[in-house]
Amino acid sequence: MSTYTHETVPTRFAQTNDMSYAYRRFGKPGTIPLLLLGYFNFNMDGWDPDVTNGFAAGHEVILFDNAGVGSSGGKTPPTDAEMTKHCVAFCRALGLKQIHVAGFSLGGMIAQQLALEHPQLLGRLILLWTSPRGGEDMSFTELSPEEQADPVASLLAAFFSPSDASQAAGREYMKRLESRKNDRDLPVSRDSAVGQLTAIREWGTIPATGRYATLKSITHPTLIVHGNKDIVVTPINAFILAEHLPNAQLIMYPDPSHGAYSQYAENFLENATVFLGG
Amino acid sequence: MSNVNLSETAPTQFQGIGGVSLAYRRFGKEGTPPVVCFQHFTGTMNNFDPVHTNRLARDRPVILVDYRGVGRSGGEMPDSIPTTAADIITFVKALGLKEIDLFGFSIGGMVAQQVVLDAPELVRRVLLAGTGPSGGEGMQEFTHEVMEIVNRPNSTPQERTLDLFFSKSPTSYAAGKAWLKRIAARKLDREPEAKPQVGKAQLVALAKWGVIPATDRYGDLKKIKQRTLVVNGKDDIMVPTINSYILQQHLPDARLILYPDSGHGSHFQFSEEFAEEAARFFATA
Repeated sequence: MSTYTHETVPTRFAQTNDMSYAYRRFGKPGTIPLLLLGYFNFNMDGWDPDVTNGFAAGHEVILFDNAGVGSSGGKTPPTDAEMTKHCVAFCRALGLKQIHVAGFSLGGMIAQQLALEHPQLLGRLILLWTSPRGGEDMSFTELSPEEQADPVASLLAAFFSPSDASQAAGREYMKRLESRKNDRDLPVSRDSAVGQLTAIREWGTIPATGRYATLKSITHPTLIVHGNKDIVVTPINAFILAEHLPNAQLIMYPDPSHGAYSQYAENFLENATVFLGG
Repeated sequence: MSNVNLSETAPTQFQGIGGVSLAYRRFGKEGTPPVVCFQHFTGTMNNFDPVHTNRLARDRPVILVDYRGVGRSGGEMPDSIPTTAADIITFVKALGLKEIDLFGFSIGGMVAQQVVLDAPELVRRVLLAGTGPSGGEGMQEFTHEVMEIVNRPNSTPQERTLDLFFSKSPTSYAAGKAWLKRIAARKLDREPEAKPQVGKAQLVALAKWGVIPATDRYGDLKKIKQRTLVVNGKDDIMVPTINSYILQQHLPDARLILYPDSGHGSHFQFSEEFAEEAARFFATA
């Protein structure tokens, strides 16, 4: 039994011919690993330790930086499709045959692409605060790479609603993100943020035909989690996912913005644990 | 204690509300606010899922009640939701209850919304399944598809309910049959099926509830401050699923769960998961 936690697990590197991917692996060995795919402008330190440690009680958990992000080598590509290829290369480098995936926002877009292109690799899918390709209000004109100048302020503004309860939860969340003291990840570079933003905007472009047609090919059991006042990825996108994915359950929380599970971490973990069968 | 099948044995009782008596059953652990449960279109107390009610009864008192005119409740079914809600408020007060939780399915969810609007001081928590706000989307009348099932000749109420509450997948249909079996298990003291007047009056009540107000379409929802859980299946043909989304968008403190591969009766299909989630919802401070 691994005794590592979110706070203590060392950062390791998975090597391929041309890449070095930073990752952290901890939790219950002998289970199907849960690969966590993160969001815009944040690295492995951006995951809420309440959530990662909660998952680790029942599953092996793998955090990873995609190409060009944080401590990983290479350059952040400008499309979700290329980020998905890096994901697959990373899984192969670790010899993973089957994984569950939880993708948050940008990570949820990559998770959908992964499910479409590599259905056999995936067991179950958790989509957090994300949208289908060509979803509603996905132009992201309000996001800019300059936000990394003050990631704390941008997180509080984007991830939490203006209510007192939500802002207080946001400050608690920021505090938890600091709980890991040693071996912290490298910050996201401006180049990487530019690549991610390009990828998100490309994902948000509405296709000329068959807007949500690909979703019916994702037959994996899926859990969708969202907040009903999300200003980054509007909540109707979660409803659209639930309506078009053949096997998806939706949980939508009140009040919070983009990243509400930290306010509802306990309920989220209970549902996600039942869903993953752990 | 935990596995006692109270829903099968609880006797039917009667409470006068001025002129008529409402039939009800009360069972479960005392010491917390009771959860008062309201039934769907033409349904009686017989149709409450014992998986739900027995689970809730482990933690709190459960009160099932038939509206005026339904089952052995006296009188005629009122043709408006507010009149029914007024009956329920009188009933709750006559039982001497000061604080209650509400669990309403379909038309029962509309009654629950009206009860909390008209007597907010009585209500602590609200659970709404397969329902929608007043003046919601596609709630002005049932679709052709629904009316074809409702009026289908040579069909039993059970067959019609399967088609109305469950999706067309084999999994959903099988879950529907399992639910029908569960609600048939109680032999004691069953309620008579609703008389024709009930369905007619409820259709009128639903039509009135569905009228879209000229201004401030969902304004009433903002007044419901109580913590609410909204549940539905992704393909509800009776109360279109988008209404569950609308409820959660407009209620100040609501959580939404949509289940896959299911319809109006998703909480019967996912009965265990739903019962656990409902128990957690009522248990949280």
